[in-house]
Amino acid sequence: MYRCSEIVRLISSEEYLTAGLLKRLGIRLHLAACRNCRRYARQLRALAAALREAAGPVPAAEIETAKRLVLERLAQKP
Amino acid sequence: MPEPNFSDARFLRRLKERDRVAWAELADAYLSQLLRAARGMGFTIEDSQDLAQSAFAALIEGIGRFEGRSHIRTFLFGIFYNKVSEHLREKQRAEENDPIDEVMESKFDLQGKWRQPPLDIEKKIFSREARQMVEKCLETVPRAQRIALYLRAVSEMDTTEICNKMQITPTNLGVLLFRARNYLRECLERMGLKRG
Repeated sequence: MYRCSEIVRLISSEEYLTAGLLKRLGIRLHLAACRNCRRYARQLRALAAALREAAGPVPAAEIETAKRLVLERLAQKP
Repeated sequence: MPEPNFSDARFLRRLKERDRVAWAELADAYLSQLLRAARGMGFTIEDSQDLAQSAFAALIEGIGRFEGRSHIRTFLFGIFYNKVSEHLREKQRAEENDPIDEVMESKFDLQGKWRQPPLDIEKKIFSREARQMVEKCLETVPRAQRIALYLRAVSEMDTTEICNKMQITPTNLGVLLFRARNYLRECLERMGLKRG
């Protein structure tokens, strides 16, 4: 049976993704029995969603600057 | 967003002839993607510009040899990821030990059971309004970890692809993700506490 500390490592490092069937089953069993680890796992899932939201669009001015620089470089003699 | 067909032979010829309109189209399509990725990985505005510019500069220089066998986006992002991977490995070496490892160790007792269980703060901090808090906490995450987290959580590349592109081992990636996620969760937990 896995310890909570091991579950936390397996989940946050995503080691469980490459784990074999037995290991995966062990993780599931632990999660079924442990409220704290379930909460931890749930929070990491929520975190992933929050991260995708936090990566907002880049201001138009920055993109314009970048474009100008690219076209300037293009105009230089090869 | 539908992309114009940049693999088209005629378009490629225009690029090779340094057709300004064609290059402007390419810039419109991919500069924002490059900048967004770099910003998401925690690079400053200046560094993000540098990364995007060096990717395009390499493409301008190398377009003559480009045969169109791979997609032009793949080529562009390939250069970009190459540059990013230098940052990732360089920073990682300096961070063989990380304070978060000890923080995480202290959370469990000798039997490996939670001594300080995760607080019930989902509603407060993992809500839609929490975006600002997440952004603030992201700033405290070391660069290499942040790059790894971005690649995995936002760009959703699979772990094999990340390891190939960044030239790191799966173990390294695992350590970076472990640290990044726990840094972030800890920071959010502290913020959630402050909010009462």
